[in-house]
Amino acid sequence: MANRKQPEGERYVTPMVDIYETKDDVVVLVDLPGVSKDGLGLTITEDELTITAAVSRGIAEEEEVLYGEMAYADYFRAFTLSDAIDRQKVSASLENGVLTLTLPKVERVKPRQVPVTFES
Amino acid sequence: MAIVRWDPFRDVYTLQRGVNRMFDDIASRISGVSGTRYPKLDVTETRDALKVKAELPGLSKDDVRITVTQNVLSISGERKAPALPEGACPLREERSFGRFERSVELPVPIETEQTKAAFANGVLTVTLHKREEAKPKEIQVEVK
Repeated sequence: MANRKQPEGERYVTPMVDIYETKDDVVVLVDLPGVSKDGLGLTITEDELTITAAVSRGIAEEEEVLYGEMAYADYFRAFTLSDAIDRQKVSASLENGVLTLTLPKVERVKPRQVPVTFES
Repeated sequence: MAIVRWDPFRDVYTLQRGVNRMFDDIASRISGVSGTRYPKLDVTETRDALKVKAELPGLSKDDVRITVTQNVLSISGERKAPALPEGACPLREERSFGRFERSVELPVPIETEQTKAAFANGVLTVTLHKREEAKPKEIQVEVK
């Protein structure tokens, strides 16, 4: 999986990700603080997985910002998927602002135990 | 917000901060040592209260400790790295974990007893109520 550049012109925040691989899946963990399920958009095209997430900072009209470090922009990140990923079985869960994407591998790339018989 | 005396150098300070941040950023890229403040904070003010928000993805209320004195709020805790399943091979590690602590000096005195905190979608919001004398008052002035 490789990074792809975000669309030009618009301002986005690139969320931080961890990726690890197990025997059966590739798991992507994305930090998306301030994002609820409604704001999250995941799309998978032929060879690309795109994460977009709208942030609702919830600043009321009468509130005055005294100090701000958080970026007031949506999140965007895209990854190129290899053929080893089964696109139909991708699952996602969002908990406490962390998105977990489970990308299962297709059967043919999973490690298999091949029984070997020895001729005596 | 209370009436603040106009400070002609305020904009200069803002510029100075901006330039400092730019140099910190460049320095951290060169040295590889990150000087990022964690967690990221926002401070907002309403008539009666101050709100401090902190980006703490993956944390819940049991992971943070909030202490408050009359004019300083401290948020500390630990973000633990998730336990990977056995045999998992890390491919990319951008997120950071470990202990953190940040303190904010509050611009007005607050009622420490009335402090409330809530977690939503990985964002901690601490609401601090201003002390009565710090709230803006409306006084009717009779004109004779």
